[in-house]
Amino acid sequence: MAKPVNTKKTFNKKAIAAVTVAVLLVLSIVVGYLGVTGRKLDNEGLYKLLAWIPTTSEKYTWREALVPGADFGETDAYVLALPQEQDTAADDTVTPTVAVLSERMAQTGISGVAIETMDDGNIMLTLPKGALNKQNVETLTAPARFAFADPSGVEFLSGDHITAANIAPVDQQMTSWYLAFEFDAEGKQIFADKTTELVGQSIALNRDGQMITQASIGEPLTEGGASIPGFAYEDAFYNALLMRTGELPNALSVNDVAQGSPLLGEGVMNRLIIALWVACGLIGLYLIIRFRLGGLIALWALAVAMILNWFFAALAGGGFNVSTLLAVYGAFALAVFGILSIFRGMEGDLRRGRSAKQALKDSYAGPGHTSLDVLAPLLVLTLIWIIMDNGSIGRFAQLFAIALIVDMVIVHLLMRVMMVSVIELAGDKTAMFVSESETEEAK
Amino acid sequence: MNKTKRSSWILSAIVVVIGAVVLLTKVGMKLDPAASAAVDYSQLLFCSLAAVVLALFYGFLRFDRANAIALSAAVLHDLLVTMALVVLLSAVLPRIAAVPAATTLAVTVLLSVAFTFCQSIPILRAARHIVRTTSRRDVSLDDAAKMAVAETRSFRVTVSLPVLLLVVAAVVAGGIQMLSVLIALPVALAVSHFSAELITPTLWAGSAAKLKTRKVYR
Repeated sequence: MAKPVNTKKTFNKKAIAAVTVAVLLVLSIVVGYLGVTGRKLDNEGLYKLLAWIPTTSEKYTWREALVPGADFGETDAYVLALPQEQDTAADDTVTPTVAVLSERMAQTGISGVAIETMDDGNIMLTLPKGALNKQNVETLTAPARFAFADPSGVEFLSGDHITAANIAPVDQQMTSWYLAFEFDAEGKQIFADKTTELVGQSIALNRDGQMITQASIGEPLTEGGASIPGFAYEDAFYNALLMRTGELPNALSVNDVAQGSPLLGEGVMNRLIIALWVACGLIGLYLIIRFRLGGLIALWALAVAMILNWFFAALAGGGFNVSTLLAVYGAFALAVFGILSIFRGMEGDLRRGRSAKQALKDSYAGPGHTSLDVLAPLLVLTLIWIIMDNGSIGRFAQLFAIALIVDMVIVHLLMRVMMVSVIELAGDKTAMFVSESETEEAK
Repeated sequence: MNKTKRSSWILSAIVVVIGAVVLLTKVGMKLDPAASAAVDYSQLLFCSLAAVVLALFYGFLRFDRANAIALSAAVLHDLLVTMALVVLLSAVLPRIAAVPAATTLAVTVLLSVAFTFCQSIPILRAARHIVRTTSRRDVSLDDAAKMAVAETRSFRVTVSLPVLLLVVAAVVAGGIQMLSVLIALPVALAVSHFSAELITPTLWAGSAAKLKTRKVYR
């Protein structure tokens, strides 16, 4: 006796596939649109969702979400002059000055700082626009000769003996900060002797001949260091920084500040955005030509991955700089690797006449693991780098780790769902995934 | 080890030694003051070491000792040769040693680990598959390694092309400055391809033969 055909199950599968594809497509388009244009979240414009996908248009707000660093964005160019009585032609006066200034700039944590010696002997300091105000720059270019003085103003200990300096909050509200410092052996002895003598009195901390703070001595300070409270955060931060980096051999005066060009050149940012989108487009075109419907779905998955990677880069405060580009496009290339490894596995099976559904399933279970074998250790490695390094490597690794997770989810989860749904809708025809000539050759 | 593979080892060693000499004598990689203050290159060395150790552990946990040795040696080789070549190129492209190229150099060099994995892991997987599906009497370990290299070559070249395309696009947009920033990427790509063709399979076959860690290798 013939069994009835279960058409209801087939209909439901197709319906589910159609709804899945429709929902994913609508979500992709909406998120992509928001990524490019941003959106006001209220009528007054107080709250807004910033755009996060880089484009060349000036009207979109992505530059607020991904602030261009000194690599691509506008810079402040300070011209710093050495004192006129100095022999500016002599390299031995300029080089150590530049070295100390470079160290100070590095310790501010600002990336993309460039310091160059000009032909006229002046020094050009290039910073990301708005990174430091003129007052901060003047603080950092001051000689910063520290000295400790007794109540009569006689200096008894110079800042040359300071080996370490740091700051710490006095209270939980962080309205007042300690400036803490340590001395070398000689400084420790001098400081211990003097504070023993001055118990019940006070000592002054001078910088470039000016008193910046006075502290009373309750007991002899013999541990080789001290902490002075009562500083505002910025004052404590800069004083500690200046103590750590030492005295500037030559005083520098800020002659001029002008808007500088990006470190990588004018107009590079827009050209780069266009060039990279064109390159991604060519990669997508190759996928479509080679893998047909599968390639189209892969392009869709890559677009979603790119949207999400830029979103998380903006959320993490990565900025628009070379490091962020390396993380986002590095992950893009790895996603392409994953897709190619999966499709390579499928291609062989499709040429042998297997169904697309079965070929996809076997590819994910077999050759597709090549991608996981690459992405998984890379993810662990980037997590190790995040722990090991607080500098440029750690910052890059943070963005790269997020992008790798997005890649794994998109390539091994989302793309599989997309492929299964589309195969369910469009049918299992091999010609939709490989060319007829390739299957003929296989036969 | 045949002549070609011995030559490749010697070539790599020579490049690394010359790069080290150029770096130590400050003929190349003369960092400008801003770059030398901003960059802690000791962190690059520690992160590179972490990559080699991770490759060793991952290869052992995921595959076996022979694969672990081959993968970690490939990572070490690629990192050292890439760094050496970048140092040598800095004599031709002095902008490599200036901001902003110098501050991102550590990142671009470390990305070579990704290229090593993408080139070497497909070969190791393919070699494992060949060894498991053939008899040692018919296909020796060296033959399995050669077959794995040949089988994966077109795939490995194909996956390298998107990276090259992105680098070319960036250089076309950014000119010589951008080339200085990104130079380590195409260098790392070429080095990883070189090691995947000539270094990794030799090491894998040699380690598998010596260690005889699995019955299939015997």
